[in-house]
Amino acid sequence: MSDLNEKDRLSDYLDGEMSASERTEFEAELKTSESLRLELDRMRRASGQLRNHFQSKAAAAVDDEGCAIAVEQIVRMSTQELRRADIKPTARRSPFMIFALALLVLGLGLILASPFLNNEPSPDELIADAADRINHQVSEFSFSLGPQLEPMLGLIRSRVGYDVEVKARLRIGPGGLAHVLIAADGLEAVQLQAGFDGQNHWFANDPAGPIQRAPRLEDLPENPLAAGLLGVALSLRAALDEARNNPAALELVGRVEDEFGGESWKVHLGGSRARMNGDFWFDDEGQLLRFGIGPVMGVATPNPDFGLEDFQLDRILPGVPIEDVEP
Amino acid sequence: MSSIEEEDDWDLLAAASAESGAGFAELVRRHYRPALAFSRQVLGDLHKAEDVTQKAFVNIFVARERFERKARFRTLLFRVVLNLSINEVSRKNRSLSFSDLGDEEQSVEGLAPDQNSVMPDASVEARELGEMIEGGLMKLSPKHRAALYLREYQGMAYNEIAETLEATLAEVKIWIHRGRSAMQQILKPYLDRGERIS
Repeated sequence: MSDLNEKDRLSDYLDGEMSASERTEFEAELKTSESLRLELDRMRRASGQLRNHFQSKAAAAVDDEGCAIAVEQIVRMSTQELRRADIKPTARRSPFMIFALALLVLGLGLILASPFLNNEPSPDELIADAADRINHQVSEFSFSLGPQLEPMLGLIRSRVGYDVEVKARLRIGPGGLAHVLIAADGLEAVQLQAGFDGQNHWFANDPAGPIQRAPRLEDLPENPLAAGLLGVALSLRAALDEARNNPAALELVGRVEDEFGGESWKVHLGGSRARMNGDFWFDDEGQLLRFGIGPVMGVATPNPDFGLEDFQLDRILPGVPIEDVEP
Repeated sequence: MSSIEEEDDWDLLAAASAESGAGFAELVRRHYRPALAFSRQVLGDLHKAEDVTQKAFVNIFVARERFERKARFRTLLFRVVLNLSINEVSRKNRSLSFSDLGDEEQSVEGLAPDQNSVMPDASVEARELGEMIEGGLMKLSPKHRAALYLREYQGMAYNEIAETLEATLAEVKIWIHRGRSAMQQILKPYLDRGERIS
């Protein structure tokens, strides 16, 4: 049995996570194996020491007076926040208000005859689903950076010598996988790429040199273009996390029409308590269609044709030498 | 009629309103210390942990009508605290690698003292040991730390830890086993001596 499996069993035994039959079998083994008993004793003592450590840290964190002050402060802030959001309990609304609201909703429903009014989505559920998809599936977005893209465009144009059609693309996947690319379409010589390959490698390329690779992003040499590119991936993940953890900062703007006549549900992330602002657009199935975070506007590619293996460096930049950067 | 101290956590949350904070105050009083300790363990910083814990309670209060009583209130609270703590880590250091926020722990080699070194007296030893354990914990990813804390200190079962961390049971097992292994590595000189560590 491998060492890992052995430790798994020890941990399961200590934590009471074994079935009755597994436990009986393990205890029989314990009686005959001194090394197993010794290993169990070591793990038990290490576990006990860790528990003591957590206990001492917890006890030192706050005294009774500090706790009472914190409780008072939290309750005050919570009620203030609720009043600010103007979320009043239904039970305290007057019957007249409820009747008027009901009439208003009914009237709007009859006038607009919209099929969507009865199916208005919950913004936090939309966001939670989008975050889950981003974290568990592969997704692709084409994006624009507005004025911030200009330095990159300038670099590309200077290399090519004329104005070119430029594509900017973000691929994102589970485990932090990211690959961001800005390129003159079809011209590999001017591709700028950066990403995280899921194997503890952050990478960025300079079109004129090798791919630089490092276990931590901060270890890559100063590379504003790569930092700007990776900022797109980091911002999208951070905005979705913020939106998921801060439902009070979400607002369903409503059904909106885009410039091509298509319709989508728009959710806004913002407000005084939000650390980030952004907008997300979803279709009726809850698929994330577009996002807008700061200067970045991203549009999802429907049914992208690539997989997890496409995040590997040898697939992204085949044949290009790799330079490992020492921390 | 039962007193407020005996009421269920979810009932206290449901009864809370902008006009009446008494029930919510009781709820915060019950869970503030463990939530703060949990956040501190994930963040490694008490002051930031205070902010995160405060924000977690405020968020839950404002959005209280959206939560369902599917699990214990503590599970929901710890999940919100964890997500906010990880956000805080991410916000603080955008250059942190994704793996720091995920599943991969860093090496704990070099944290354990030289086995042949002269052992100092008990109080110094205890302090140094505490620092080594803390150093070792901070080398683990936030989710590894969280899993170890929830198991060792909160005594949560694996399935409850999985629910709190929004992870699979298999992931939780791996995180706890790896965390313990890392701790054993750090504590090896002490464990080898066959002494109870006080």
